[in-house]
Amino acid sequence: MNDLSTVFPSDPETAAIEGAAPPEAPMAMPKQKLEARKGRFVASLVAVLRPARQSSRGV
Amino acid sequence: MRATATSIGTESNVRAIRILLLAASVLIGCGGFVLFLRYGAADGLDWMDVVRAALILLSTFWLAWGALQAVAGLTTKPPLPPRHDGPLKSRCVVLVPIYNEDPASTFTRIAAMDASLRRTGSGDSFDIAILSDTRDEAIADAEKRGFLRLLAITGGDRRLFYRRRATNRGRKAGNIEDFITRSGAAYDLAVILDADSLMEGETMIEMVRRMEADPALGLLQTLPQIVNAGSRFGRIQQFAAAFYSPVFCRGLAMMQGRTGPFWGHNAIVRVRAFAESCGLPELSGKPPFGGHILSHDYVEAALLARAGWTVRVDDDLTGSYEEGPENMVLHAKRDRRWCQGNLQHARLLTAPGLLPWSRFVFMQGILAYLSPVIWLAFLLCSIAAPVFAPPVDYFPIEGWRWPVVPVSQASQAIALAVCIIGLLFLPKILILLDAALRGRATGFGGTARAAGSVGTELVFSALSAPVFLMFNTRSVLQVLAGRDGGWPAQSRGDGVMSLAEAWMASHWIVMSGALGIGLSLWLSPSLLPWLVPVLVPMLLSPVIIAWSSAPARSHLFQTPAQSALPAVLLLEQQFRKIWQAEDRSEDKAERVTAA
Repeated sequence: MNDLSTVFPSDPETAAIEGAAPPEAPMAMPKQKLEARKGRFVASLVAVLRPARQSSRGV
Repeated sequence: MRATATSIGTESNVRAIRILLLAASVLIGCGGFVLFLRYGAADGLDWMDVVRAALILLSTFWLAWGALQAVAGLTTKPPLPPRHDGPLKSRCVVLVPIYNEDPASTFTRIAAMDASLRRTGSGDSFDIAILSDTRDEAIADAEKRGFLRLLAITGGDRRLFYRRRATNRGRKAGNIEDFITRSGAAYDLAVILDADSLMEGETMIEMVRRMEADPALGLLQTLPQIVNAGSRFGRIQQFAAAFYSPVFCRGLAMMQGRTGPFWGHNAIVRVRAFAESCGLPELSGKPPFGGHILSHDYVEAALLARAGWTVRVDDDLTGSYEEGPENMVLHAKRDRRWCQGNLQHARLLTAPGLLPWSRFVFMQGILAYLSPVIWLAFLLCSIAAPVFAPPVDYFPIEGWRWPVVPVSQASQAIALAVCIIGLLFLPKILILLDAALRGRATGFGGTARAAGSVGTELVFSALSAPVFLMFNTRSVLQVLAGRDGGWPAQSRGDGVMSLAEAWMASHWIVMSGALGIGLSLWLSPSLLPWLVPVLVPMLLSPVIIAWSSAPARSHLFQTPAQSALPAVLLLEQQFRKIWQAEDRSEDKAERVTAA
């Protein structure tokens, strides 16, 4: 098929709007973690009440 | 990781100010609690007295916290932040997210800011990107035509950009995120605006200088002043924002440390910091508590601080403007969205890694919307209290033949009422005195006119507070009932409401007021005089709403921006005239073509 876009140019207004798009310069924007795992908050609160614990390994 | 010792004051000083103000607020709250208990104990203490005293504790704490913030603002002055005077090194973009807005108003503001930036001589460092989320096809077509006209008027080809998203996923936060993921690497700094924002070019340059001078600074917020208000309500709000807010903001600045606020617009962000830290997830569950994060700005500020960046509000930055709602109903509609957004933050109180102050800020936002509900609960409990009160025992001493009449403790209640009124009014009166002594009142028409404006504003606040209390309570109850407010477009314009329209919006408040009077007469007639300041404005709410929506003609409520129109507002007016002239010539051309 022949490309007729040069013969019948698209609407100049649409072309101008498409040309006005912001520059292509991607940047990653990773999703942040906002929700605490269930039970984690309570666990962190009661953690201070637990007796001090030492690892039995690597002593 | 990034935060260094900057001009914001040492962390220990900030902590000391926070602890001092918090302790004082708690103390005042406890004072209210004790006063009420002593009042309630006069005829024997019952559980309803304790409930009411607890509600008073919360309410008084909240009022005291606000009042003390003003006192801190009046008595302290933050040091000047670091800045530089050299040429700008950063590539900057001004982001204008729009959503079903009137293109003529938005684009003339953009033309004004573009011209203002170019006047500074550093305008080449800036692009402006219009980020459309418009869903209405007719408005979207008008936007496209308007943008082409904007390019023609400003000659802004290759520095003014426009794009419309196919879907408006994530609302405004998603709109900004979409820009950053597609174009963020082209810029170092981004000024984030709202469709009704207006900023002086000089202000934006100054913000860039401060960002460049402090590499740990992730976000810098300005305090926008309300402009272009035309109604009585709008003018009162505009005056209050110009007269009181800088002092409250200075108080906030003293407490911010590196965890300052972000109010969603009229702020500048470091693009890399924002991209790394502020990708917002959807919360599990359905709206209103799940789904997209509505009040994203507070969360983004907390996330920047979590990642080690400084977030700061500089209350000395001028030349930052926005428009406000023109009537009480529009104000209440906006508050409905903010209410849902703030209550949704309850889900984030336990978010991992947030700084304690960020969690406290979420709590503050929640309490701001719960506070009127607490007041209403107090009033209802007070009306119902006689039902639960035990019968008065006139013979409490066994064997004693003479009746013992309980001593009235009304003086305790009066003292409490005086304290509460003091907490409400005193900060504003202190701000007036400060403005008179330091000459700041000159910009508000002089001390006498500023005093008249403050007095009238206090009366209007007292009259409108019960109406807003009801709107606010309805919003909270709707959110708690699981009703999502959606994302309605901002209503702008003159906002004049007839009495019939005001009645339609507030008849349920009138009914509630009448019910309150009926219940009070039935259950506790002696309480009625105390309830008059709340119930009468409720009965008059349609009148208050309609009256305050009418155009303002008073000489009161003058602001510095009205006394001497800021340059960017003058530019906006000029571009509006050009825009209207273009409209007329287009109409004429269409008529000629049709003929």
